[in-house]
Amino acid sequence: MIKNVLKLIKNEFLLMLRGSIFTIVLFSLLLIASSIFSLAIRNITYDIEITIAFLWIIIFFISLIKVEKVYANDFSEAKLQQYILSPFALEIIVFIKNIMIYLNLIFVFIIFSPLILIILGIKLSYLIPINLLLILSLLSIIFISSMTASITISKNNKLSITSVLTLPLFVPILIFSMALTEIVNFQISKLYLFFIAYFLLNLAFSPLLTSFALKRLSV
Amino acid sequence: MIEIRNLSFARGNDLIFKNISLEVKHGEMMVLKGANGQGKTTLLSNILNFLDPLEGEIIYDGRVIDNATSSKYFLYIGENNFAYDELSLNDNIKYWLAVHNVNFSQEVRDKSIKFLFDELNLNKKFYQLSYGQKKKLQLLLLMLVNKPVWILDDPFNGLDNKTIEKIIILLTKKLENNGLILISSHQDVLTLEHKIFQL
Amino acid sequence: MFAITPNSLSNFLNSISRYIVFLTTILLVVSGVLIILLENDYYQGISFKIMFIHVPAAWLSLLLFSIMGVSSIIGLVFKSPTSFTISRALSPIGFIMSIVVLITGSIWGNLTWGTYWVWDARLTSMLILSFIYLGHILLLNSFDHFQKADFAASILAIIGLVNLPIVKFSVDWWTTLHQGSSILKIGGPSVTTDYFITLLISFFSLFLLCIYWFSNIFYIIIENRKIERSKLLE
Repeated sequence: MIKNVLKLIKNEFLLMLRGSIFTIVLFSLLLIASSIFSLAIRNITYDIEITIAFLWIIIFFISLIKVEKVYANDFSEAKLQQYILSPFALEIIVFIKNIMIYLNLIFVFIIFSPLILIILGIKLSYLIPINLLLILSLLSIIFISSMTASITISKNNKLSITSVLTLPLFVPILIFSMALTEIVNFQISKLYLFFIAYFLLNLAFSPLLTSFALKRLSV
Repeated sequence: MIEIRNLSFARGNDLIFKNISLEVKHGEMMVLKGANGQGKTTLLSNILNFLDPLEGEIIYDGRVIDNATSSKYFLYIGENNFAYDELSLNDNIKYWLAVHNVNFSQEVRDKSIKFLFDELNLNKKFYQLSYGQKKKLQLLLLMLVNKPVWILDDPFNGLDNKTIEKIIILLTKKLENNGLILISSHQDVLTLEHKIFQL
Repeated sequence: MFAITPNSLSNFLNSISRYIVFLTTILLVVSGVLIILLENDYYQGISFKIMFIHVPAAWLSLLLFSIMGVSSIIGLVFKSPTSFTISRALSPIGFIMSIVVLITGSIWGNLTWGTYWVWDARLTSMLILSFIYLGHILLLNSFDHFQKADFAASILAIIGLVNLPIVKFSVDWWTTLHQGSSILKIGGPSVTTDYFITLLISFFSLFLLCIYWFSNIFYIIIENRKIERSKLLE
C-alpha cells in the first residue's frame, strides 16, 4: 500500500508539473497587474502596507482560480467515481492534490517574487519575510479554497459564483497577514504562530469537508 | 448477493424510477436494459452509493451498502473516461493502478497490457488515442483490480468486435470465479447466460 | 438532534408556539417599559438605549451561527435531516439579527463617535459574519435538490465558525474604536444592575421571538417537503 501511495504522490507531482504552465500564465497576469498598479500610484507617497495588501489580494485570487481549475479537471465525475471506489480514502487524495497545488504556487512565486517586488517598489530586503509570509498563509488559503472549490464545481450548482459567497472565510488570514506587515521589518512574532495554528485547524477539517462535498455534490 | 428492495429515486422534481426490486447472486450476471433516460446509469449510481435514493434500500451480502462497502467490494466502469489527457497512456496506467492499489507483479501487468493494447505505443499522450483505445484503459482495471463485484455501464459502446470478444472472455472468467456482474447495455452482444432487468 | 425526526420537532414546536407567543409579548412589553423608564446615560443621553436592541441582537447573531455550525457538524457526521433543517431555518433569522446589529450600531456610532462606519476590527468582523450568513442563504437556494444544498451550506457554516472567536475577541486583540466587553468578561459584568436586568430581559424577549420565527420557518420547510414528496410518489 505504501508503495502505491508513493506512486500516487509521484504521479500527482508529474500532473502538477504539467499544470505549471497555467500557474505561470496566472503569475504573468500578476506582473501586468502590478505594473498597472505601480504606474497608477507612481506620484503618490504610500506605505509598504498598501502594496503588500494589493499583492495579497491578487495572490489570493490566483490561488482561488488555480484550485478551482485543478478541482474542475481532477475531480470530474468519472475520475471522482474511481477515487471514491479506491481503497485509499478520498481525504488522502484531496490532501495530496492540495499539497501539490501549494508547492506549484509557492515554487512559481519564489521565482517571480524578486521581479514582482521590484515592479511594486518594495525593497528587496523584504524578499525573505514576504516569501515566508506567503509560504505560511498560502497553506490555509489553498485548503480553504479546496472546500469552496468542491462546492463550486458541483454539477447541481445553479450559481456559478458560489466561490464569491465563501470569500469572507479567507478574511482572517488576510487580516493577520496585514497585521504582520505593520510590524517593522516583519519581526518574529506570535502572529506567525497564528498561521501555523490556522493551517493545522484547516488540515484537520479541510480534507474531510472537501471529500464530503465532493462525494455528496459532484457525483 | 446484491438485493434491491423497493428503490425509488428522484432528481429534483423528476421521478426517475419507482419501486424497483431485484436480486443478483454471486456467479450470476444481470443486464439492465431500457431506453435512453430510463435510469440505468442512475440505478447503478444508487447501487454504488454515489446517490441517495428517495426510498428503499440496497443490500450487499446482508448489509446495507455504504461508502466502505462499495469501495471494498465494487469495481465500476462508467461511460465516461477517467484518464488524464495530459499524461501518456503509460503514466495513466501507472497512476490508476496505484489509485486502486494493484499489487500484481510487473510481469502480470505487462501481460495484461499486451492482451488489451496489443502493440500500441504506450508513450502516446492520452488525448491522441481513439475512443476505443481510451476505453481499453478502463478494461485494464477489470483485469488487474481484484474485487468480487463488477458494475459496468455500457462497456461495449464504441468497441470493435475483437475487443468485445476479449471483454466476454473476462466476463466468463469472472463468473467462473463466482464473481457478480451488473451491466447496463443497449447492445445484444452477450453470448453468456445472464438475467435481464427491463427498466 | 440525530434521533429526533423533523416531523416530531415541527409538531413539538407547534404545540408550544402559543406559549412562546404569550411569553414573547409579555417580555417585549416589559423590556419596552423598562427601557423607557431607565434614566438616560450621563454622557450619551438617550442614545445609549439603542444598546438594548444592539447588544441582544449581536449575542443572538453569534449564538444562532454557533447553533448552525454545531447542527451542521451533527448533520454531516450523523446524516441527520433534522440538523440540516435546523441550520436552514436559522439562517435567515441570524442574518436579520446581524443586519439589525450593523444598522443599530451605525446609528449609535454616529451619535457617539460622529461616524456611521469605521473599518474597526469588531465592525469589520461583524460585517463578515453577515456576509457569511448571506452566503449561507444563497448557497441553500443555488442547488436543484435540497439535500445537496444542505451539504454545501453545512460546509460553509462549519468553516464560518472560525469567524465567531474573531468577532468576540476582536476588541481584546486589536485596538478598536468599539468598546470592550462589558458583560461577558472575566470579573463579571461592569454595568449597573438595572441596565443588566433590562439587557437580559431584552435579550430573552428577542430570543423567544427568534424561536417563534424559527418554529414557523421550520414548519413551512417541512410541510413543503411533504407536499413535494407526495407529488413525486403519486
